Amino acid sequence: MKEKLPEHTISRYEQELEQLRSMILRMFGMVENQLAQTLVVLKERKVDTAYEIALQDIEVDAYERMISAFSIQILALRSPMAIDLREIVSAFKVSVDLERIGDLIAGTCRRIVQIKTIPESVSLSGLLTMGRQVQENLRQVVIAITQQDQKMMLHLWNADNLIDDLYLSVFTELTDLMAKEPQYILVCSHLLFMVKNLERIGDHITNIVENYYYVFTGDTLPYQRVGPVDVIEDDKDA
Amino acid sequence: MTANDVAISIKKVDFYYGAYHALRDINFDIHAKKVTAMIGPSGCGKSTLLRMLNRMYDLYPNQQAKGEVLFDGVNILDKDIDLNILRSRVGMVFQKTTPFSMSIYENIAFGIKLYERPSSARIQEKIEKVLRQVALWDEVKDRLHRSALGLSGGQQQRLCIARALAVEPEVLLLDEPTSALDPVSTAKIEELLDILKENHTIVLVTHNLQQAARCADKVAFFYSGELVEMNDAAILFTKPSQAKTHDYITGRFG
Amino acid sequence: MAHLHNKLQGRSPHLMRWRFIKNHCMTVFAFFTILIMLCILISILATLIINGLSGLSLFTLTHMTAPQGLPGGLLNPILGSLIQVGLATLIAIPLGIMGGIFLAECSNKKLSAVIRFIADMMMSVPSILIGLFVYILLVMTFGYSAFAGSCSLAVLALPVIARTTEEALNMVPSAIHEAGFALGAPKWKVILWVCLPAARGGVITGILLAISRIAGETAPLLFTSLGNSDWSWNIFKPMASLPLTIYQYADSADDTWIQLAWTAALVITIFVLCLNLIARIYVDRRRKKDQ
Repeated sequence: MKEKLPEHTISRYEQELEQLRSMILRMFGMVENQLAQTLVVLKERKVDTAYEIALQDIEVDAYERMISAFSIQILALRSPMAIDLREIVSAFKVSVDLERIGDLIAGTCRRIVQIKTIPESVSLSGLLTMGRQVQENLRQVVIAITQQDQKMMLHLWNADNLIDDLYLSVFTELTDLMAKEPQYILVCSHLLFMVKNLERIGDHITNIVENYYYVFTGDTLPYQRVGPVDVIEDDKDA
Repeated sequence: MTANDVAISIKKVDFYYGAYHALRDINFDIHAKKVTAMIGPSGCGKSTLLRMLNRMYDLYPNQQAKGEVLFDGVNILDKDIDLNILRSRVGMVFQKTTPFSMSIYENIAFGIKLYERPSSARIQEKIEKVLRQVALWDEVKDRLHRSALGLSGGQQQRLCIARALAVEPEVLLLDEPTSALDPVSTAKIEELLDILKENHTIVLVTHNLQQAARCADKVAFFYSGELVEMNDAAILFTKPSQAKTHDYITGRFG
Repeated sequence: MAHLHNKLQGRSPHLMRWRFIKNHCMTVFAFFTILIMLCILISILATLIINGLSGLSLFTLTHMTAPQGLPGGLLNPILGSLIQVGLATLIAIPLGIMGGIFLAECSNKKLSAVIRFIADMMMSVPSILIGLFVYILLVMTFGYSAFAGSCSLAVLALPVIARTTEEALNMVPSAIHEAGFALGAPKWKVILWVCLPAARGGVITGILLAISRIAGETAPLLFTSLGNSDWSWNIFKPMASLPLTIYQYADSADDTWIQLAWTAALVITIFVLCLNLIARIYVDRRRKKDQ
């Protein structure tokens, strides 16, 4: 599906699909930006700006609603078929994933606000590495989608394993610290949730990749891509 | 798939209007007791193929078909096929409603009387049965002896289906049966197809993709005299395998 | 309207003005041509009514023609005309309809083209020739008779019925035609029970037109049914008819005969007018019923 499809006979339809695509990309941009800012906050331990980042989530939520409404409108008015149908339904689902990602980042930011200060002796390198990996995956997803690169999608789909591995190691690192230095238990448990959030974002990215793989090929990826098994899956929210 | 699933088997069929080669090397099976829709742009040959299945083209001397269309083990393209018997087993409904200019009663009785010498009670009973089948009975039972031309378009089309059913065909061919009807009449006819497929094999030609999607089990896409793709409706409309099918159903044609 | 006119004028006043003039010229021209035709028609009808009406009475309608000088009526020519035209129609209808079916359904295009040409020729042949034809065919061997007169009238009506039937059948949508075949009906049943009823309106109009045409014919009757001043039920004997009576009486010097000729002319005109009205009403009613 690399070659460009011919345009729709009805140019307004073509424009609407184009508009839907750009709305999705815009949403990607928003969460990418949110994530990047959050990582800067963590790296520089400048806790005070975290609250503003959390507030950006409102805009992401609004976008999700706009995309839902717009996809339903196209479904109702254009009776799309084949790739168009798949793309519109996927836009609908992907917007939900992106909205969840936005929520998770906002949740992370709220936790940063709660901790107020992160002691220098608590290392954040594991968390930051994981964050950067998630950030990289998110960036690559956008490239894979715009270039309709199926190989890259498959690669990204598997790349979530790396995040899961990082999650396990950071998890152990933090629990070890909590065992050794009980005064950090509060900070570390907050950090645990943040790590968990990043892991969840990775899962949503996989969902997005699965959706777009379906859009461009018409095939679904297999159900099970094995994730971290030995950790209790507390549901989503932080 | 067993042989029983196939009602009509089309093998290496070519069709000519004079020198014009309208269908090229068509091969596919029409499944028994399923709705098969044929779609494609105007002039792609879908109606031509439909009209081959009851040899309607025989009315026009310069049209001819080559190849094999097996129905019940017999090649119906054979010269010595009894066309009247073939057409009694393969009924047809047209795009334009075609009530004969006689009463509703006579319209249906005409077909029945072609094949038997029934008593008037038997005719009455059969007329009621087919009119109920097409959900027209309640609307016309009080005016069976009035002209069929006084019915609305949707009623006329259902009458035409009833008339075809009265002959007890195994296969029903429909050539854009709802293209002149309003959405309510269209829905009634689509609902009717869903019921009729329990006992009949239905072949439907339509320009309306949504209609094909709504009614058909199998969909065949034709383009410039060739069968491009044939598949289950659910697959063909979500994941067509051919680029031409894809462009057509998503509205990317010129 | 005025507003629209101004708007259009605003675009190109000169062109619009020119169009306006042309439009009005054509309307006036068309109006005058129809006026001339109406004048002719009305003057004919008026002359007929003025001259004929005074002779139209129950007496005229119920009494036979009489020798010069005696009071006579038109009963025998009226009956004679009805019988001969009726008989001609009976002969012409089945033959004409069959012919029309042949023309419409014959798959041999060359043959049907030839026959169509012949039918058109027959329609434009002077009717006196038809009279001569029947004279040679029947009268020379069997003598003058009402039957021979009917035959010549039938020959006149035949091509009219055949051609209108053909046209009416061709107007039947091919889908109706195909729908008949799709039920598995043989060709003759499709034509007779499906196509012909669908073409009924046209066929009946054609028949009525053919009758009006032959009702007023004099020439073919001159050599065939001859005319008869007495009454006879025997169709194998000469018989009176309205056109012949007009022909004979109009030329005479007797004023009462001339008066009777006018009345006879009025009677024929009313008859033809009625037929035309019936045809029109029938077609209208069918159209309404079909909607």
